[in-house]
Amino acid sequence: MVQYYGYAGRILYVDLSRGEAVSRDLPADLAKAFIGARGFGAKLLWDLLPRGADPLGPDSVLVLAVGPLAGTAAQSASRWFAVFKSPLTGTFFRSVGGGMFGAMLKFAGYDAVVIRGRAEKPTYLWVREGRVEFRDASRIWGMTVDGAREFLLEETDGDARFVAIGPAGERLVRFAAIVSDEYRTAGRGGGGAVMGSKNLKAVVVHGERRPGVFDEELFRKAVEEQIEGYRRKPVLERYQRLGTNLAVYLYYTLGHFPTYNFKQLELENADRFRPEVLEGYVVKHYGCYSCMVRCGKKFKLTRGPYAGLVWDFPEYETHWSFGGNLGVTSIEAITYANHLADRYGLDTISTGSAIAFAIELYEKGIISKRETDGLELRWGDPEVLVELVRKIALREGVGNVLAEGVKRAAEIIGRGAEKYAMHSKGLELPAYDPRSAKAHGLNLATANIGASHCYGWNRFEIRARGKVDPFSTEGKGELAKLVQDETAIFEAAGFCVFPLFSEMITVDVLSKLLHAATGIEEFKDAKYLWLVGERIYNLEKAFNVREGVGTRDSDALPERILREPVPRLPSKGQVFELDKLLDDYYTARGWDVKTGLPTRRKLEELGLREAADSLEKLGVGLPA
Amino acid sequence: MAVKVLAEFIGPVRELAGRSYLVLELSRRADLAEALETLVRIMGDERGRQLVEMLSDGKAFILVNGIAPPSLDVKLNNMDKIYIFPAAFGG
Repeated sequence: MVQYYGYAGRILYVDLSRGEAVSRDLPADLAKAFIGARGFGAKLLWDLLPRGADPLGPDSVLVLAVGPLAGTAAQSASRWFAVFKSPLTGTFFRSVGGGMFGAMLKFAGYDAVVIRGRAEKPTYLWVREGRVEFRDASRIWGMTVDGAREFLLEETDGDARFVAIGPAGERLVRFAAIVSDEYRTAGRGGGGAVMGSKNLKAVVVHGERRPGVFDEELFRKAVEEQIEGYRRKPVLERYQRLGTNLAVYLYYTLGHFPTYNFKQLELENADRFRPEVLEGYVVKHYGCYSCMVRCGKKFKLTRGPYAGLVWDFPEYETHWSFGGNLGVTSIEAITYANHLADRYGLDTISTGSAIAFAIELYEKGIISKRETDGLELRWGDPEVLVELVRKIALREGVGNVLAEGVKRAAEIIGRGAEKYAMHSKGLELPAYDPRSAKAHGLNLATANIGASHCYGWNRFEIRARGKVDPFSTEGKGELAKLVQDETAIFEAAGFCVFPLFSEMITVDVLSKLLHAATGIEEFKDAKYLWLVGERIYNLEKAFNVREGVGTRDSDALPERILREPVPRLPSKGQVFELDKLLDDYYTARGWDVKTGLPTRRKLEELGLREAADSLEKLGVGLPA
Repeated sequence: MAVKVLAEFIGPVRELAGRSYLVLELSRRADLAEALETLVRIMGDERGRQLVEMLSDGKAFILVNGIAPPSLDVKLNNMDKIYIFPAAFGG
C-alpha cells in the first residue's frame, strides 16, 4: 500500500441499486497523472460511464471529489467537485461547491466518492471513517434543503457536513443544483437532477482524520508565500468586504453584464448595483474552510414585502440572472428569489436565463397568457421573477417546460423560439457577453461543459487593466486555451478559481504547495502541471467526442451573439466572429480545425493514447 | 469651446469625493491627464492626494466610456464619461 501525504488515499465506490459500498486504495498513477478533484472526476467518469448512458438513468455516475490540499492549511483549496454527465448538455460536466464539505470528506477518509445505480426508495448516505450507511430519506424527501438540514444533522452528527438536493432535484429539473449545508452550491449543469434520479437526497460526512503533509517545513513556507501573495493584492481587502458583488456595476460598465436576455439595452436604475449600495445590505461575512478571502456575505432585507429575510447574498451572477437580465433592479426581490433557489436547489444562472427567455417569447408574441398560466411576463417585474422561480422548481405549469432548460424548452415550444434561447451546448450563458470580450467569449463557445464563465475566465481581458484589447480577435485562441488549461490545473488541485482569476496566486506557488503536501516529485515542476491541465482538458474533450457532442458544430453560440451588434457602450457595434475565432482556437489547441476534433498526435503527446485507441475502437476516426 | 466630461465615483472613491458625480469643464484639447488635474484641484489638497495615491497603488482605476485607457494622454471629447472604480473583481 502506498503511503500518501495530502491525500486520504482511499476512494469510496457506492452502488445504490445493490446497497453496496466498497472502499479502495487510491491508485498512485491516478494521483500522479490527474492530481485530484476535477482531474479524478474526469478520469473516473471516462473509465466508468458507459457510452451513451442516460444522465438520469441508473447507469449514470456521479463523482464527488476533492484535491490533495483539501483539509490542509493551504488557502482556498478545499472545494468539492461534482463530476457527471450533464442532463442539461449531454456533455462531461464538473460543478464546484465551497463551504466545509470538501475538507470533511477528506477527514472522513476519502479523496472521492463514486456513486452509481439507483436506490429503490429515497436514501441518504451517512459516511464516517470506515463506515457507510444507506439511510432511509423518505421522511425528508420533498423537503427544501434548509428543511432537510435539521433532520440530517439530528439523525447523524451535529458536526457533520452534507450536500443535498431540494425539490428541484427530486423533480429532475435539468439545472437543479447540489447544495451544501451552508448553501455553497455546485449550481451548474444539473448535478441535483442526477442525484434526484438516483433517489439520493444527501451525502452526509464526518471524520477526524487530518491529512498529513510530506514536508511540514516546506509546506509551511509555501502557505506563507501563498498568503503573502494574497495580501499583496489591493483587491483582497475589497473582496473581503463585498465578495463578487464588487463587480456588478463595474462589469455592467465594461459591457460584460448583459441586459434583457442579451439585448444589451441600457438598464434603468443600474446604479442600484453600485458597490456602496450593495454593501448596505451586508450583515455578516463568512468563508470556506481555510480561506482568508471570506467572500461569503449574508444580506439582511429591511423593507418591502421580504423585510426580515437574512440569507446568503446573491453573487455577481445572480444579480445578473435574477436582476439585469430580466430588467429587475430590486435588490430585495433578487435576494428573495436567490433564497428560494437555494432552498429549492436551483442553479440561479440557468433559472434566470430560462425566465428571461420566457419573457422575451411573451414580448414577441410567441407565447401567450394561455401558456404562462395567466401570468403577464413583463421585463422588470419582481413578482414574475419570484413566481417563476417557484414554478420552475416545482415543475408547475409553464415552469415544467422551462425546467428543461432553454435549449429543450425552445424545441418544445417551436415557432422560432430557439432564436431567443441563450445557451451553448445547452448550458445557459452566464453574466458575460461574448461580444464584449472575445477570448472569454471563445471560452464560452468551446468549454467542455458548455457556456461556463468559470471554465476559462479570461483575466487578461476582463480585469480592466487595458493589457489586452477585449474586442480584438487577434491571438485570442491561444489566450482562451491558456486560461482553460490553467483553470484545469487549479481545479485538479481542488482550488477555488477566484484567487487565480484575481492573480493572487500563480502556478509556481501552487506547484510548491502540491509538492510539499504530497511529496510527488513531478508536482515540483510547473511545466508538468501545465501538461496535466492540458491532459485533463483533452480527456474531457475526448469524453464529449465519445458522446457525440465534441465536434466543431457543438462549439456554437446563439444567433443574437453572432449577428446582432451590441447597442450600448463600450461594446457598441460588436458581434462575435465565431468562425475566425474557432479556427484560431483549434490551431492553438493542436486540434483539427475543420472538425474541431482532437488529433491522435495531441492525445498521445498528453499521455492519452488509451483514450485515442478507445475512441477509434468505437468507430470515431480521429485526425492524425 | 470647452469640453465637458462627466466624472463618476464608485465605492470608496465616492466616499473620498463626497459625491457620486461631477461635471468637469476642460480645455478644447483636453486629455485624461488634464481631467485628473482638474479633479484633484476641485477635491482639494488632502483628498486629491489620497485619490492619486489610490490610483498609483492600484486601489482604484479609471475607465473612459467603459474602456481602460492605455495612458493619460487619451484625448477627451465633449460628453465623455470618466469612471473611477475601486479595485474590483468578480465572477
